[in-house]
Amino acid sequence: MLDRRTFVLGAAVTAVAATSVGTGTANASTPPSGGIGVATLDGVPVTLARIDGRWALLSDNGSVRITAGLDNADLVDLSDDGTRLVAAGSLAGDPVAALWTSADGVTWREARRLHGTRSEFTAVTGTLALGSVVRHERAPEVRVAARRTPSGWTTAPVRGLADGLLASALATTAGGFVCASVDSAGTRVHTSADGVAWSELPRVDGVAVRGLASVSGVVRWFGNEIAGSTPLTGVVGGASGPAAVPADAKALGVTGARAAWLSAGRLLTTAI
Amino acid sequence: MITFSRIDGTPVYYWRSDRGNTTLRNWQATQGFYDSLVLWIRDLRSLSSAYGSITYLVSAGFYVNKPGQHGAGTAMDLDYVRWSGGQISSPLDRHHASTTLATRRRYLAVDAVCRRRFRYVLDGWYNADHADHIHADFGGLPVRCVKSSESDTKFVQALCNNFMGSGLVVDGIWGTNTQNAFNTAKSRLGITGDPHTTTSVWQSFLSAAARKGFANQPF
Ligand SMILES: [Zn+2]
Repeated sequence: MLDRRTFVLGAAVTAVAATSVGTGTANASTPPSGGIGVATLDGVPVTLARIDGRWALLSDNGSVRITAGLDNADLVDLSDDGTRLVAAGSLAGDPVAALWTSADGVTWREARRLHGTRSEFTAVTGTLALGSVVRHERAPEVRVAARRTPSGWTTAPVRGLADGLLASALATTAGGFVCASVDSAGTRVHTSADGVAWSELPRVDGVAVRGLASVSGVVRWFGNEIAGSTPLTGVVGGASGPAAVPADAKALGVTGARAAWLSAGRLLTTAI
Repeated sequence: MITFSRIDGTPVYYWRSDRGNTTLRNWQATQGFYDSLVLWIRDLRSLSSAYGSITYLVSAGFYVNKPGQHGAGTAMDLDYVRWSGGQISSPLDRHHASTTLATRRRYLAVDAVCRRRFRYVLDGWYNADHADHIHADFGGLPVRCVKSSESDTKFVQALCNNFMGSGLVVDGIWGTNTQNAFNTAKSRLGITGDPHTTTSVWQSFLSAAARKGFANQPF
């Protein structure tokens, strides 16, 4: 079911007051593009998207705010730990996996980077980030992970995930974590109690999964068909079908009890 | 992002869930990537014209909702090419590792045509994850032959082995033996200029190699 808090990105851009210099609300000449992940900030779903090459925080109360501290970031995913947002990706150029955190979604600081090798993070929760060491051509080579500890984000071992795939979704469950990785035929889903040792659940064939949620003991997924991009949802190891969103909607992820989608410039959320 | 079912009139099917299926699909890609797909298939038609027309293609995805070039709408996974003369080339069936030389040469010809329009191109020699499709994207453009690229180097090594019997180890490391074999290949294919810095020279090399591959002729 579509949430009423739909959000027309282009309209929002023109609706807000303009301060084009520095951090603040946006006066964009082009609409936001993409949208990476979804998180909850002060009870409101938010995502990050590029406007004129800069990262902007988009929320469904209508605000579009240009961020500070993400100028050199190629972001892939966004999450929160209940109080702070965390964004995952890499430093631009020859990629270096990095994480950024923010209390207000506007002012960001780098929290962790991996040194010494090409790498990127591609999926994050408030306490765990998954990524890969990547080759010159950006093909993933070895999985890497980082855990949030009291002293900050620190690299952690990871076992049981195929090295040649990138994580496309990651979620916390009652028993630990669940993650998705898209291969050439669909999505592989793995679960872990500790974020280190992972074991495989049934595949989701023909679908690129971008959001996961643990609901009443089952793992529900949200994604798009590989051949045709139709928005779909289903249960790992169970039934699947069309998601109740427009046909062009692209899954962004899950935050709280809602799945987020981007459709024709609108941020939509649906109950999971 | 645009939606397409055919590239320049040629249908593109999806077989990963149902081999042989001919349902038209609503693939998506950026306009710029689709424009390159059109140039690519015109190259492919021209260089393989002895096989007749291209009846259909099979793909494992263009835009795919995942991190990287697919998520940006600037990548293709190529599974299968079918010509009206009955010929096929099937990365899906691991034709790069076929026991039949002509089949490997045809795979390398298709691979070469991909490299005329795309970087990076990841094939069955690159790694196990690309054993069943050829991935082509917009990373690392412009098109050229980069010695430090494992993908480019393995392609050159496989090409020299399959067309000249060079006996190179396909390890992605551009050493003296690879350089010597590549010099010979360039000479035999009549290529002058620097394919490492000049796009048109590398494209000419790839076209010449593809013609040999579709004709199953050594060089
Ligand atoms: Zn691919």
